[in-house]
Amino acid sequence: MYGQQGSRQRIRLGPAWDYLGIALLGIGLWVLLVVSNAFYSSVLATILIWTIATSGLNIIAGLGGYPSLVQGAFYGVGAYGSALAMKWGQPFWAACIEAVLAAGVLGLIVGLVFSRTRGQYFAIGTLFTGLVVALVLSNWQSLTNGLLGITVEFGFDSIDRLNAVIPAAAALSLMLVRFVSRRRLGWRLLTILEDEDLAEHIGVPTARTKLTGFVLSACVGAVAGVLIAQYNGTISPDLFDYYVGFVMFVALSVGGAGRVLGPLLGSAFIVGIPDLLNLSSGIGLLLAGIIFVAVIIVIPGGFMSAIDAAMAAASRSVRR
Amino acid sequence: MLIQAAVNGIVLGSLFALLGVGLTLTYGVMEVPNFAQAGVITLSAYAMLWLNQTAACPFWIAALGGMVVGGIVSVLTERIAYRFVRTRPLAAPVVALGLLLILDNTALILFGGDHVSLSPPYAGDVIYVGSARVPAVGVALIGTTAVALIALWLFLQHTRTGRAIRAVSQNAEAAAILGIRLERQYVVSFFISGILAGLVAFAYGPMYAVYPYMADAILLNAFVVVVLGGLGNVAGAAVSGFLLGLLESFGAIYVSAAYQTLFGFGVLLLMIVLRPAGLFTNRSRRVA
Repeated sequence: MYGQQGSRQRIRLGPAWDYLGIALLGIGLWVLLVVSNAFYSSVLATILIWTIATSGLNIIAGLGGYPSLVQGAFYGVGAYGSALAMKWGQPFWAACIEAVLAAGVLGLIVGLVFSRTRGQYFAIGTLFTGLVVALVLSNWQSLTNGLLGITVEFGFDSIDRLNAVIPAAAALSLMLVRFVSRRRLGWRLLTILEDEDLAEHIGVPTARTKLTGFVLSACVGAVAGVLIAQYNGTISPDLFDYYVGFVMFVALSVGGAGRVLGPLLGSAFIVGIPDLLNLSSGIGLLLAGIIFVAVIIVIPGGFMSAIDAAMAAASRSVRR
Repeated sequence: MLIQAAVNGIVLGSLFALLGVGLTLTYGVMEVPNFAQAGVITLSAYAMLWLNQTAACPFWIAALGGMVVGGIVSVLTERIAYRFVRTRPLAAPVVALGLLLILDNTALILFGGDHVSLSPPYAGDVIYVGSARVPAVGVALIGTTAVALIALWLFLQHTRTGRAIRAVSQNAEAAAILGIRLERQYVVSFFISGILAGLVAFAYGPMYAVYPYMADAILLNAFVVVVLGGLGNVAGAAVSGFLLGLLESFGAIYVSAAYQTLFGFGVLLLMIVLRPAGLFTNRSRRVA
């Protein structure tokens, strides 16, 4: 995004290889998750859950170039939706579906209003939506128990099962972005990213495309929410505060917006580093802010584009 | 009840107007939605606190010092970050938020996360308007806003620099062709906007509390003001600030105080759906 798409390069191996690569990556991450000690394992699980949420964001913000700052709210709706549905006696699988549907409906409503707006207004509007959802989560005492949060019923057979589902879901979310990016929806989103007026002229139904992309982003964000609720066991509004949506956007941009592996790389940096170094939240966010502003200014395409540039340079020197 | 709501609304509206003009000024010249303004307010408020309590300066000197700090921090955000994204409109809002993360958390690390109070000499005083209670800090806020708005208006209308800023705001390219030095207007606008942030810190700090995220939520309200007034329109921002203040205050008293911010959001939704160009705009910037 950010007007430098022209220089974006992809290394193409054919679709089957891409999916196989992501699958192998997922298996590798699962092994890593199982063999690590409790501390590293929990850091990795958090990174993977964030990867899912930011992969969802990657559809509307990465492919479509719309800076959605409300992904944290869909993440929250997924978490609270599934936890509440289970509390009201639904089986786990039904609770998951209902939570994702709830986020999809919210995404549809938010999208209907704000997909009319562009760029900065879209950013302001979605950020404000995130604030409103956070406000509701902390003030609707009877439903959410306010700031104290609620405990979440565990829906899996065992913790091992959950530890397998998280990397699998992360890999699937990466595959989804890879899949969408080569389908009609993805191409249409890319034309909107390049030039929305021109896209409209050549017959791309821009409003519908943006709305579809946004709802899809919301649903994937809710899946991440369901998993974080399961993983944590308790959820409270501060996990889904309005700035979370922005930090997700930061993770995506740092990793590489519009790139399949961008969310994984970005989440590892923005969530993983502060967790690993055991930084206090303030220093972690300060660091995220500095990394983010520096990356946006120096390498607008994120780390993935820096890796591409390095690989291209390496292959040139090999050929010579 | 009615008078109290109206008075609260005018106090809140003053705050929104003061915030809104600062935001719309920088938006006008550079088209950045300056979310970092909230961080400038925070740092400025902490500077006042530090000067007042640790360095034992008299309150007024501390307030002045805090405003200067606000101006300097604001110019720094422009010099260090914004000027690199001027030609990339999509990057601007997120860089602004990145800066906000940096400024807020700098405050958190330097001063801790506790709520502390900035207390001017008139902190405890209360004035009665009929049956309505107005704390002196509220009166100070109204006064500050009135003086700041008039001073800003005079500056923009009647000084050479003010005219240059308006020219850049209307059409930066044409202004550059006419020999206006763009860089200088950017720095000056950010400095003024930082001073306005300092004024917000001075007026808002004593009403609530000083903590690292003190200005984040009200800043989003201020963006509603800016959109309502038409982005880049200073007079529009001032008027819509008061409108939104009254609306939120009546909403808080007659509906629910916890969801006060929600009314601002409702206004934003209505605006975007009904009048995307803003209420007071004459030269439209494209919203949708």
